[in-house]
Parts: sequence; structure tokens; C-alpha cells
Amino acid sequence: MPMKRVLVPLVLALLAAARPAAAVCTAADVMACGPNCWKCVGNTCTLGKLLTVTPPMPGAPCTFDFGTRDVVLNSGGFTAGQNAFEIKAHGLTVDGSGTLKATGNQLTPGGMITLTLGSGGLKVLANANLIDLTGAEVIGNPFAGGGGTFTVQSDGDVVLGGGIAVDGTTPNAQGGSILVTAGRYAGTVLAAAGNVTVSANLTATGKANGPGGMVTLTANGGKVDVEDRIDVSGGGGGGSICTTSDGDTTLGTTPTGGPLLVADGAMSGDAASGGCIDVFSSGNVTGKNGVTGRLLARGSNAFITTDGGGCGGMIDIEALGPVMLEGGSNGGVDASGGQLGGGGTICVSTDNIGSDLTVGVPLAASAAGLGSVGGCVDVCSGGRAVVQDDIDASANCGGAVCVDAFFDTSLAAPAQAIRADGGGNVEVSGGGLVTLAGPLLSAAQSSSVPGSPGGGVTVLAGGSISASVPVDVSAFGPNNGGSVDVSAGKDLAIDASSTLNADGGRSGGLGGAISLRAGDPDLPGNLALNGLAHATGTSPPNTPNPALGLLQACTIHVGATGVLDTRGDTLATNTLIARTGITVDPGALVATTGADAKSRNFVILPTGAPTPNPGAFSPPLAPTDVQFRAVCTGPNQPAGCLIPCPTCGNGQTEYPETCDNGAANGTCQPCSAICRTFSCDDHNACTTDSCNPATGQCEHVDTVTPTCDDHNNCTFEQCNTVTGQCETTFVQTCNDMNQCTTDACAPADGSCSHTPIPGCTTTTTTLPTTSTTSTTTTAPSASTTTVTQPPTTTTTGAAPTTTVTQPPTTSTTVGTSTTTTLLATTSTTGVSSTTSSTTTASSSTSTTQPPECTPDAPAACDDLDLCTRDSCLGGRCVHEPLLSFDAVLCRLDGITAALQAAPATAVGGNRPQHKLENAIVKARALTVAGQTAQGKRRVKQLGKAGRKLGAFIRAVMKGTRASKIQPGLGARLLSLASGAMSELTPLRTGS
Amino acid sequence: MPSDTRRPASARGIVPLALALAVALGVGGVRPATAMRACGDDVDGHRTAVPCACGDILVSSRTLRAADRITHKPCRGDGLVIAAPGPVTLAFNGHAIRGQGQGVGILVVRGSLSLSGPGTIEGFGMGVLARGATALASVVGMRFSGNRMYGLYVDGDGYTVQGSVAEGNGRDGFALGGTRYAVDGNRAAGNRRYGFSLTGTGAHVGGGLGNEAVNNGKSGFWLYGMMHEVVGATAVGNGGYGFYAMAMHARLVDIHAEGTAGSGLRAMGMGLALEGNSATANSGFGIWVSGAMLDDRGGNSGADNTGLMGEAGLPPTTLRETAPALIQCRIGTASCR
Repeated sequence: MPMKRVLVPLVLALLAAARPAAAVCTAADVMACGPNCWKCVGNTCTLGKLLTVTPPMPGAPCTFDFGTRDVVLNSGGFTAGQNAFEIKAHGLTVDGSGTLKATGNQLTPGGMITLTLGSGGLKVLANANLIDLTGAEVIGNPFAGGGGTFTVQSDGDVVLGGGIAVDGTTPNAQGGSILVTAGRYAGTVLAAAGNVTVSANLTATGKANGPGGMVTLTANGGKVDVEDRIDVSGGGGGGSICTTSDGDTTLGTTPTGGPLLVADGAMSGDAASGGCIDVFSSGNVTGKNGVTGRLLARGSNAFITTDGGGCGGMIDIEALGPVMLEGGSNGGVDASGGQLGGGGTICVSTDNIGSDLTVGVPLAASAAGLGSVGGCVDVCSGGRAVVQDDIDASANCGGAVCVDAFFDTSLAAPAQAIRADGGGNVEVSGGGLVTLAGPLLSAAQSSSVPGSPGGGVTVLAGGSISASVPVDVSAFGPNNGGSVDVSAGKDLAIDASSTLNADGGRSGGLGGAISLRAGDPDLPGNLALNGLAHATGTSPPNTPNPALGLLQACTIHVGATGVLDTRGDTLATNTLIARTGITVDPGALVATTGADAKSRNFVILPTGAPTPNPGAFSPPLAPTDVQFRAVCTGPNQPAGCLIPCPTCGNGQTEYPETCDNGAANGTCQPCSAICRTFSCDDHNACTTDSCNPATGQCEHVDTVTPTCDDHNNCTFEQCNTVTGQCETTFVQTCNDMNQCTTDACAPADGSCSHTPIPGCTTTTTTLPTTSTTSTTTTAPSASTTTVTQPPTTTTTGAAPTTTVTQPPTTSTTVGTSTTTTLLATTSTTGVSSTTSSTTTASSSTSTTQPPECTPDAPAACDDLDLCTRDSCLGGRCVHEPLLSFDAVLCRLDGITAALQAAPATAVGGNRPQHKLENAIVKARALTVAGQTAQGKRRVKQLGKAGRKLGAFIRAVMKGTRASKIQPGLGARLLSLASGAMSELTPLRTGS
Repeated sequence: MPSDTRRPASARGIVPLALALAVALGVGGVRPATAMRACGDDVDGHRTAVPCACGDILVSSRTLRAADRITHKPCRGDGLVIAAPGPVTLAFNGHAIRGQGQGVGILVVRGSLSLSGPGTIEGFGMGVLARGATALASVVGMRFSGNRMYGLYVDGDGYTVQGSVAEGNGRDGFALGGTRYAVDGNRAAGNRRYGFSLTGTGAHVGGGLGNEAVNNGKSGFWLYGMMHEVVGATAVGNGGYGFYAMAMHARLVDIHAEGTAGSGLRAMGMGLALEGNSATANSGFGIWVSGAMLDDRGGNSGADNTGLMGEAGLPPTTLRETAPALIQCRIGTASCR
């Protein structure tokens, strides 16, 4: 032993001596590095020497806990090799030549640096040294290792003005991770707000075969501002860039004008796919001075040019507020695939109603080469959508482009084209006006390989559509033209500069389909066709599904420059349905093949309307081509009628109007702007219903339930949706099922008390049992006698009811059961307990029925009640209530199931939902613990469980009162919880 | 933990580091109570167990117990960092770890993690982050809830995720990528964006119990990549698509989408094979599949889908009149057979 006492200090001394002079692993080490190394002025301390993070043993982590100090690294800092270290401080500034380094260089993986900071936050100044955690793959395990992990978790702002690199350095090494969070939550409450600003390069790249890394920027309660390049590209595939902000997000521009966010499959890789860029903002997303740099997640080509290239990546920009991506060709969002690969996906969206979305940069999810597949571009606005630049999801097999808005949509110059060429789909829609001002809408097909038809262009509007735009869904070779479907709730104007091309291929392709509708489906709206609309075909005679043209509106006006041409296919047709009338100007042309009796220009008009000039039609309009129909006076009355087009706002309600209050019509008015009755009445007497004039949307607020408070926390009141009155829907009885206690609920806080009754004793507590004896005689009759024994409790306890379904054979059942109903009444002045006992005997005769179950298939008896044990007894299903702990746990499980099945909105949001679930999880764990415990520990655990359950009940009552929990769900939860409490209480007391 | 002879050479190389970590912590000198430490059931190769606290580095397998302070109160930053020489199993044993909207609940830096429930990871910036070919082996019976971004984020090879739940996360419940991974018996509910975001190559999605996505803000399932196989997926009440696939050479079987704000099943790409899928009562289209070399293997159907399009929910009158069957179920240019 003495020897050991000598050796230990000796070893420690040797170890200490072996460490480099500047080796540190604790804050104390740093503070002891000398006056020229560590200086403090007030609360701010400056480290002026580069220190080597050297744990006592290689690989151990080090923590530098500087407490509440603000630390400045100026001409000094930490270098750690591949080690891990953490700095804790109030704030950290990496100043001129300041160093944070944990690089494995070309030899080993990068290390790990974690900065845990208070409200002082992190500032990395531009003149700081590169924060370097680059690293190599693990020798012998090439796809492990790579760049290190740099984590910032700060209560204050994080300003990254100096660069950070966590790149992989060797061919197979993957990029590392840069995980930055500013601001913090304590539960659901924002404990500290922080912003994240990036104005220097952050790189987490992989090399030839290594995938890119990950960069996350999170601003809890604050903003994210990116002003320089973040690069997670990799030869093994792009990595991920994710930003989340409670406030706005700025996607700016780099000082050099290069791309801003890069998650490319690097060109050094073989068919590497693009990575992921995910931007979410609870506020707005904008550029810097109106410009957003390029966002890239492109796939790379294959090394062998005939192989498929990598796929484009995924770029998602989502905000609750407005989004503006601007800058024209200086910016752009590109998720295109490599040669012969697949395009990626781009989704740009605003969630809140009224939040506008402007796309002023090109969006690309295209791919090139035979066999390539186009990607998908979704532009979805909760307000208006304005597209001012090109969108491309083209490929050999075209992709899809959707531009949708809750209100107006505008496609405008300088955009040249919205493309899903290769036979894809372009969809443009708006709840209000849709303006197509210039750019080509194209889902054309350039391949002459059979089976490559033109695609589809669909334009829908709740209001009017004005189009001065080329549309192309044509096809090549033997392929069929695609479809153009334009439908406006109000007017539709196709101006003279417009060309709608749905031609089939010139080598036998069918013409496509052109459908132009105004006033769709039953509103007043007129169609003006002044441009060219053609769907010509070259198909062999009598080929089915020929070209067709359809014009439908109240008034159809084909101007002098207007053309509808479906010639070529022998069975092609045009149909013009005018609910009011048709005007065809001289010079206009409505033409179809006319070579077959079925190939005609058909015109449908209201009775009495003038027939248009037959000469404007080819073949000329014949009397049999024109059909007159009655105007509807009600839905399809008379049958086949044409819906009239009354003037909304003239004060007269005319079908199909349901109201017309003249000038009083409008948004949120009893009569809407389209003369349809409008009401926000949800037929719930508890809610105050209103309409938001900004959005035109109904809002329903329960104003009654929050007032339903009888100032008694032992009861729960809520509004009756029929009467609108408060009513008590739950009473906390506090029944512990113990005859020898007086149960009471305290109105002040809803807590239960169970006061022992002096002199009262419970003699026995035998769990009730059910015994069944059967005597079966030979057919045709059988007799089954079932005897249910009463619980052998002298003071009698509640006997669980066993439900036995009808016997399978003719039988006479005589059952005798004793049921005790406990009525516990409480008052604040005294205690009374009333016990009543009811004995029932029953006799029943039932007819012969087939067995409803067999013992080897008891699942047939599942009554979906977790709190019964289902079995098959003598061909009958028996549902025996669970007892004791099982009865508690099944109810707790039922609560959990109910909470998990409910949408978060039904319980006031995700966090309340989780809180409630956690309460039950804890109550369950305590119950289980109590089940296995004995004596006082058992009582203690179950007591805790009971208190947890009581708190849950109070929380549910409170939540339901405040209308945060849906009444139905609240009642269900309370029912289960009170049931569990009732079962639990006697277990607590051991009765 | 497997014996040394079973470990790869690289793992053997890291063992001394782990031992060093253990010595530094379990045996070494005094450290601040909040210092980053190593923890695990065997931190030194001599079965020395060190309970885990917030921010610790897990260097060996561990079954969480009451002694693990990480289960006691929310973590200021990261929960646990996995930096192990080889495979480690972290069994939650019914416990939960909670964050404060920062850091990662379980961050895998080195090693290969098997995560075993029942257990909960909630309230972090991200629930689990595992990147690297072998970073994750399996996740079974876990719950990821209320994390700011993703519940479970994995980019790796050959891992499995089973019987787990992701709820109320700020972006995706399960964000899984890589190659040859398997996902079955999981549920994603109430996540802000996708319930399941599945990317990469060769994923086996379902096949046993199937997966379920309910009431997620956007799509229930979002599948991207190639050579995936989906057998059994249920999407109910999601805000975007029920099931969205942008894939090449994928097999989509027994997918059911219901009550979605958009289309039930929307798939695009090349070489998609569909069988036995159904879509009911969705606001958009029922089943709509487009692309090249599509294979309708039958049994696909739609009912009661309204076919509304766009944010404003506008009716496609022409399609309703000319080919109403296409609103319910459409594969290629024809209705489903």
C-alpha cells in the first residue's frame, strides 16, 4: 500500500509532464496559461495564445466552462486535432486571428466542437482564422469519418462573419455537420430569442465519392440571414441545408455573386444526385435588396455518358408569410438532373391566407437526354402568386409544374416559358384572376418515338382569365396532341397574340383537345377568342378519340382573328355551347374536318337566340348542327336546359343566383359578390361566427365555454352546442370505492380527500369471480345454466358486470347476481354515506342461434373495449371487465390511444397534446411501479400515480373549458381518467 | 458489444480512444458537473457503467435508468452524442429525454447505433441525426415528438426503423435517406410538413404492418429516388398529398389514402408499378400516376374523390364531364383497370 501511495502521484506527475506546455482541457487550465495568454477586463476575457486541447488521455472530451464570462479569442484560441471539446460561456467572439480548430486534416476524421453560449451569443469576425474541422475517412472503413461536427447552441445571436469548414478531405470522406441554433425554448415558452447571420462561407463538402454534409441554421424567436455561400455538395451526392426561423429569413447574395446555397451532386462524382435545401420561415422569405442568390441541388452526369446521370435534389422554401425570390438571372433555383437522369423537386409556398408569393428567378427541375424524367415544380401561394421568370421541368418524359394561388395568379414577362416539355403537365390556377401575360406554357413533346403524346396545360380561375400567351401541347411523329383546358369562373379572354397548339404529330398523330370555358360552372361569364386555337391531326381514318374543340360560355365571341381548328382527324368535332348567344366576326374561323357525318361544328344555343353566320364555319354550319335548348328555371329544369346568365347586382334573384342584394353584395356579406348566399353560421350555438374581410374566410370562436365556470373545480362545465348554454358535463365524485372513507372533492382546487370513517372496517375483499357450468343435452334442445356468483364482500363492493351474449342453443338461463350501487354524497358541512343494495334475479328464454364464436377463434369476440377480457365460452362471447391494475392500465392506454388518434388541434396544439400524453405515460409508469412494489413503497407510487392522474383530469377540464380541447374528446378523456382514478384509489389504500 | 475479433479494423483502432474517454471520466479526475463526459454501460472495457447526462458522449451501449440524469430534466443543447468504436445499443427502457429547441437529441458522430424503445425524444432541434453509411443500425419502438425540425433524420445504408412514432415535429416526422433501408410499422402524425420523407435508393417501406401517416401538414408520405418498394401505407387527413412519389422503378402496393386536402396518391416518374392501391374521399384526385413505362397491375381504385385543383380548390369541369373516371383513378392517360 505505501508503494501505491508513492506511485500514484508519480504517475500523475509523469502524465502531466508529458503534456505540451500549452496543453489544456479545462477552463482552469486556460486561466492559468499566463498573463500574456489570458486577460480579463471586467467580465470579458481575452485568450491571446493558441492552446492545444489535450485531454489527459487521447480522445477524451474537454470542457472549457467559463461560466458567465464573455470570451474573446484574439490571436489565440484552441486547436484539438480530432478531439472533441466544448466551450461554455456567456458569449464568445472569435476575433482577429482567433482560432477554433479540430481538424483531422488528410489523416483522421475531424473532431467535434460544441459551443454552449448564453445571451452573449457567438460572433465570428471576418478576420478570424477559418474554423476548421475538416477530416479524412477512417482508414479501413472508407465510408466512415470525414468532416467533423461543429455545434452552436446559443441563447443569443450567432453571427458567422468568418468561414467554417467541415469538409471531407479524402476521396471517400463525407462532409461533416454544422449545426447552429440561436435562441431557446423552455417547454412551449420562448426562453431566449436569437438570430443567425451568415456572411462567410460555410462548407461541408465531400470529395469524389463522399457525400456532402449537413448545415442547419435555426433561429428560435429570431431571424435567419444568409449572405454568403453554404456548400454541402459532394461527389457521393449532395448533402442537406436546412434553415428554420421563427422570424423572417433572408436569402441574400454572396459578395462574389456566386451561388448562395449549394447541395449539388458534385461533378467529381459519378451520377451523384443533388441534395436537399429546406428553408422554413414563420415570417417572410426575401432576398437582399431584392436579389436572392442561386440555390442549387443539381445532379451530376455519369462518368459513362450512356449511363443515367444523378437525379436533381429537393429544394423546399416555405413560409407562413410572403415569399419573394427575386433577382432574375442573378438568382435561380436549380434542381435539375444530370444527363439522362431525373429532375428534382422544387416547392415554394406560402401558408397563411393572404401571404403573397413572387418568383422572379428561374426555377429548374429538368433533365436532358433520352430516358430522362422531368421533375416537379410547385409554386403554391396562400395569397397571390406572381411568376416573372422561367420554370422548367422538361425532360424526355416531362415532369410537372404547378402555379397555384388562393387569390390571383399572374404569369408575366420577362419570363419566357413555363415548361414541362416531354409531355408533362402544367397547371396554373387562382381563386381570383389569372393573368397569362407572355410566357409560353408548354408541355409539348419533341420525341417521335411512339407512345410519346403531348402533355396537358390546365388553367383554372375562380375569377376571370386573360391570356396573351402561347400554349403548346403538340406532339411529333405518330404521337397524339395533348390537351389545353382553360376554365374561368368569370370572363375568359384569349387575345390575338395567343396561340393554343394541341396538334398531333404529322405522321399519324391524333389532334389533341382544346377546351375553353367561361362562367364555369354556372356563373355569368363570357368568352372572347381572338387568338389561334388548333388541334389538328393526321390520324388514319376513323381513329377513335379524335381532336375536339369546346367553347362554352354565356356569350361566345369569336373575333376576326379568332380561329378554332380541329381539322385532320376524320371524326374530329367542335362544340360551341352558348348560354346566351354566339357572335362570330367576319374573318373568324371555326373549322373541323367534316369528312364524316359525325365530324361537324355543333352549336348549342338558348331557344330564340340568333344563329351565327354559317360562313364562318368549315364545313359551313348546317341547320342540323344547331341545337336550341330551353333556359333553366331550376336545376336541370327542364332536362338538358342551359343555365341562364343573369346579371348579379341588379337586385333581383334569378336562377341560378340564390340571392341578389344589389350594391350590398360582396365579400363577407349575406349575399356574395357572385350572388350566392353566404353565411358563416356553423350551426353551433356556442360559437361566434365571423367573416374575415381580408381573406373572405369564416372564423368560429367559442365564446361561451370559456365563461362556463361555476367556480367549483369539482365540476366541469361546457357549452351545449345546441342550446348555447353552459351545462355540467362532468362531476368529480372522488369515489375511492372504499366504504370506510368519506370521499370529498374540494371545490377550490378539485382535489380529492378520503377521510376514514371511525370504527368502520372492511372485512374482506375478494375479487369477484364468475363461474359457469354448462349442461348440454342432446339435440334438438340444449340447456345451459349460468350462475354468476356475487362478490363475497360483506360490506359489498361494486361487482363488475360481466356481459354474456345470447347462448347458441335454446336454453333457459337463470342468473342471480348481486349488484351494489354506491351513492356517495358529500357536503362541506358533514359526511353522509348511503349504501343501497339491489338483488336481481332474471330468467330468460332465447331462441336457437348459431354459435357466434369458437374457442379457437376468440378474436371474433373482440368488442374493441380495452377494458374487457374477451373470450369464447360455450359458443358465446364473454366480455369480462378487467380488474385491479389491469383495469387502471387499460383505461390509461385508452387515454393514450385517444390522444394519439386525435389531431393536435383537438387538444390545443402539439405541445399540450404531448404534455397530456406524457402525464399519462408517467401515471402509467407509476402505476406499474406500484404494482410490483410492496408496503409503503406501493402506497407511495400509487399515490403519485393518483396525483398525476388528478392533475391530468384538471388539465383536461381546464383545457376543455377554454375550448382548447374539443368537447367530445374532453368528455372521453375525462370518462376514462375518472374511471382509472376510481379503479386506482382502492389499490392505493389496499382495500 | 461484439468481441474485438468481430470488430472491423477501424473499430479496433478506436477502442483505445473509447477507453481513454472512460478513464478520463469514470476513473479520471474531478470534472465540472456539467462537463461533457463519456457514458455507457461499459466505458472502460471493464464493465464500468457511467450514467448519462445531457451532452455526454455515449461510448458503449447503455440502458437508461433513473440514474441517468439526462432523463430528469430538459437538456440545454444536445442530448447524447454517439461516438463509439463500433455498434452500440441505446435502450430507453421507457424513459424520455427532452430538449429546449436546441441541439440534437441523439447525434451520431461515430459508431453504429441501435436505438431501442420504448422511449421518447422530444423538444430538441432535431430528434435523432445519424449520417453515414453505418451510423444507424436500427430504431425500434421510439417516439420522436415536438422537435423543431425532424423527428428522425437518417442518411445511411441498410438500417431499419420499426414500430416508432413521430408526432408534432416542425418539419418531417421521419426524414430517411440512403440505400436499402427498411421502414415498417411506424406512425407519423401531426408533423408540420411530411409524415415520412423517404429518399435514396432501394427502400423497403412497409411489407409487414405497413406505415401510417395521419394529419401531417403536407404530404403523409413523400417518396423520392429509385428502386423503392412500398407495401402497405395508410395516409389519412394529410394537408398535401396522401402519398406522393417522384421515383424511378418503384413498386407501390397496398397504399390507402383518405381524406387528404390534395390528391390521395400522386406518383410521377418512370417504371412505376402499382397494385392494390385505393384512394377515397380526397379533395383532389384519387390516384394520379404519370410518367413513362407505367405498369398498372390492377386492383387500384378511387372513390368519392372530388378532383378539386389548386390552392383555391377549383373544379376541373372539362375532366368531370369528359372522363370522370380519371378523377378517381388514372394511371398514364387511362383510367385504372
